[in-house]
Amino acid sequence: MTNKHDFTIEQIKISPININAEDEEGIKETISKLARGHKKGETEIEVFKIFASALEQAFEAQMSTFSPPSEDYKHWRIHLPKDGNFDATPSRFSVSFYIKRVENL
Amino acid sequence: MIRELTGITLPKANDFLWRYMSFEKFVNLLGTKSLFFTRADKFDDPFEGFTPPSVTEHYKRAIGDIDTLEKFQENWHKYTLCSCWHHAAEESMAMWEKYHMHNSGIAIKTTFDAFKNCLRLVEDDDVFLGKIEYINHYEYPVPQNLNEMSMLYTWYFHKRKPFEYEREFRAIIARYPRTLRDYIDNHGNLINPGTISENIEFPDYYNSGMFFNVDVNTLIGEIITSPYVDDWITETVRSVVYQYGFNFDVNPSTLLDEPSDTQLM
Repeated sequence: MTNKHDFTIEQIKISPININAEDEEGIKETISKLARGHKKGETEIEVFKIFASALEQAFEAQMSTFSPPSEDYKHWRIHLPKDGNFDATPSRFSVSFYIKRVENL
Repeated sequence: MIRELTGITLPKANDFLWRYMSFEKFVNLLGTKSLFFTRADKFDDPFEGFTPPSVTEHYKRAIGDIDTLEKFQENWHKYTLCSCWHHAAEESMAMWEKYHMHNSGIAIKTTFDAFKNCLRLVEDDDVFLGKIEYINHYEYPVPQNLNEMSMLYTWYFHKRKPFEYEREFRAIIARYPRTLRDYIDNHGNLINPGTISENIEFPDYYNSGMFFNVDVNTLIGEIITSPYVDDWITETVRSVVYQYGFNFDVNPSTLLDEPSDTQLM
């Protein structure tokens, strides 16, 4: 029996590097769509992995890096290349966000 | 974003921090407006970032097998990037010697507050700051709050006692490959050794480190040139600073001045 909870992804911040304004808008829109709504998972790390995989798939990223959360256990960060691979282009962006458990009353 | 870690101390706002570097690296800093963060596995100290034996034993008792933990330790240093500074009120002859600054070389003098503020341009990473705690590696007790400590970061703020003269302060940034994300636990900071695959890959991204944009004007309070160099080198440094559009004070070190020129006036 699993013990799934609802989580939300909040306070998303996108930091683009070498990305033009038009592409940036598209990236933001895609990420917002993926982040929307409740995410089911047992833990924050499970939700992080699901969201990170969704981002990689959406942007066809062959590689990504992440920064583990600091001691508040809730603030996460993932770095993605814009065009599949970090070596292919200097265009990249990072997405930082909080994963918060929804308290069911 | 600047972040703090439990149990890691910070300098006071106006405490001085020093960075001794070669002239080439200094020119690179001015030109790129970027500070280089070195991979932790590129430092001379082979104990860099390693957990003390008492802590390793603690994990061994808890998980039964530490082989995978050790494998991780050896590899995750590749993904931890450090900028190291000397925390002292005055410039240090030992530091000039340590960095072999006989022919050229400069020291950047800044304050902790200025250093922190110059990092506001690092928007796409978390930067952890702290003074190094010098410990007796073999007698270090298991911290009571171990489970609350971020294992992936905390040990980069500990070094062995023989390095105490360095009086080091550092900033660290960590970027791990996605191959590792299956092995951090629910708190996001301790790995889950029981599930580590033997075939896990540790890709090599950054040659020896990575540059991060910083606000150079905020960072640099004063430039001191090496006590070993002639006046014309100080003039050259001054000229290069102006050519790059900056206006920092550039002064020669007075450490090797005749006593009559300094103390006895």
